[in-house]
Amino acid sequence: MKNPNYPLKKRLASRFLKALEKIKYNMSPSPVSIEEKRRRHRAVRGAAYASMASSVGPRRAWSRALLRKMRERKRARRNPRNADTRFGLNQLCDVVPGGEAMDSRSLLNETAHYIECLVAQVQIMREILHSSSSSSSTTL
Amino acid sequence: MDKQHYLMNAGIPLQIEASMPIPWSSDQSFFNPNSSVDHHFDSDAFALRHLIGKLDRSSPAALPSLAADPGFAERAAKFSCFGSRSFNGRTSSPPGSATPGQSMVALPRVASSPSLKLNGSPPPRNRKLPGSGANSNEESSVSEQIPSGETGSNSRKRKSASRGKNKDHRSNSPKEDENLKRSKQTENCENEQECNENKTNQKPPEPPKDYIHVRARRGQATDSHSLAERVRREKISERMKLLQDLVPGCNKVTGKALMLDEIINYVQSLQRQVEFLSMKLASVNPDMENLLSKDMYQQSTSLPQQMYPLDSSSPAYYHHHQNVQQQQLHSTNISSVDPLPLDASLGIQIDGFAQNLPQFPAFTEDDLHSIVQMGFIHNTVQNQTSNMKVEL
Repeated sequence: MKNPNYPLKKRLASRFLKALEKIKYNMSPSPVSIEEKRRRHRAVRGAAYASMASSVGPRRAWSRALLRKMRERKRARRNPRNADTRFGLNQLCDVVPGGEAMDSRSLLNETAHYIECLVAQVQIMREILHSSSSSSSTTL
Repeated sequence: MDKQHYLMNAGIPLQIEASMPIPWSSDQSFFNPNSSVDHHFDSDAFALRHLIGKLDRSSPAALPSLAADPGFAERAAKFSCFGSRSFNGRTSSPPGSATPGQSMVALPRVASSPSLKLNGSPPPRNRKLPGSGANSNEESSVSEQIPSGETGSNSRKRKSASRGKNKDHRSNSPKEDENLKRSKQTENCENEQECNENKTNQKPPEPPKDYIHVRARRGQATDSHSLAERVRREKISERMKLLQDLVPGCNKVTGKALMLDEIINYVQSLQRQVEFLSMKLASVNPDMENLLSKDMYQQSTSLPQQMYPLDSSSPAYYHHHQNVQQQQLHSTNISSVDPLPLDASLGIQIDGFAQNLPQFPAFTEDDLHSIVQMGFIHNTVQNQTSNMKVEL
């Protein structure tokens, strides 16, 4: 494990922040319906996974699978279904996206890389939260 | 003698490895080359008859030992019943090859009844051998049994070879496959590895317990196959070790199954964290300027001295870009800036997730990306920034 994985983190952070910008740009101020909250939540989560997948690119099988799903979702979004297909993350053969189509060895490889990315993503999100919370507290 | 006669009819030559090492030892060499081949049924049968002939010669020595062997029928039953035996053997055996004796004692009881069912005619729990159905079984099993010093590998090989002619074993094979798969995923891999190694070995098997434990898959266990499988398994265990390093707290855990559980739990917990954090982020009021600047700054500071051609200029570079970002956030007009085609595709992908698709994300993406790729597009970005509305 590249410890700490600076290039990956940079890419992740940049993309995720961009996506967040996009989302927040459209956020209406405080009174928000539950449905809206849920939508935002899903959007952020999707942005997290999307930034993970796109920063990794097609180099990894799991990111390819994620990207595929993203494209499918994007097309499905035209029909405002908002299908809650949770990014297809279920169990290891299934936890790692696209895991069904892999043999065990590559599945383990993918899992390792996926774990790395997840860890980096979580760190970034935490940092964002902390920085935003601290900044908001200060600006208040 | 009637016992011998009976046995010959049943197709089971006498074999007590402990009692008759010598007459059979010479047969080991005979069997070894055959065992290496997958479908040498004929040779097995031939060898069997050869041995039976020998048995006649040595019958006085053999018979009493046969009579004396309490576990003979059970062993024979063991050999005839692969699947259940292997399962029992696996579950009951300690990892690695432990003392054969105790497992031998333990196993026969368990397996004999299933083998009985399998053969259709439940033989009594003694020397009486099952009916015709068991003939070929017994032959094969005996042929494997006969060399007293056989290692489990050899017998396994023969078993798989003789398996081809044993219809009775077909029902076992799915079980065996299941068992093998189970053992692969559970933590009996040690047994399996041992068995694989044994399969590839040409030596005579040791106590039957080993070779009962690990059943060769039906039609498998040629050298190449078992070798390849073993190699595959080793690679998988390598990966598992790698994963062990990744997942915190996995060092104490041993075994494939537990490791897999840990890994799955870890990945799931990470995903849950992403969910939770994303929910929190979604509810946080957008405070992007500080966010951006802070985060970018953190990133830059956390970077080791990588590909910075101009270290002195980089801070200015960053600040410049941060300001630019802030300006962009405030302004909706980005017409002055030409988006670099750096990550157009990526922008598109991420765009898919935003509710609306304003224009500037593409640009910011490029810009940020240029920041991220620290020295690659250094010049180009600078050129671009010079075009921007806001300048430092």
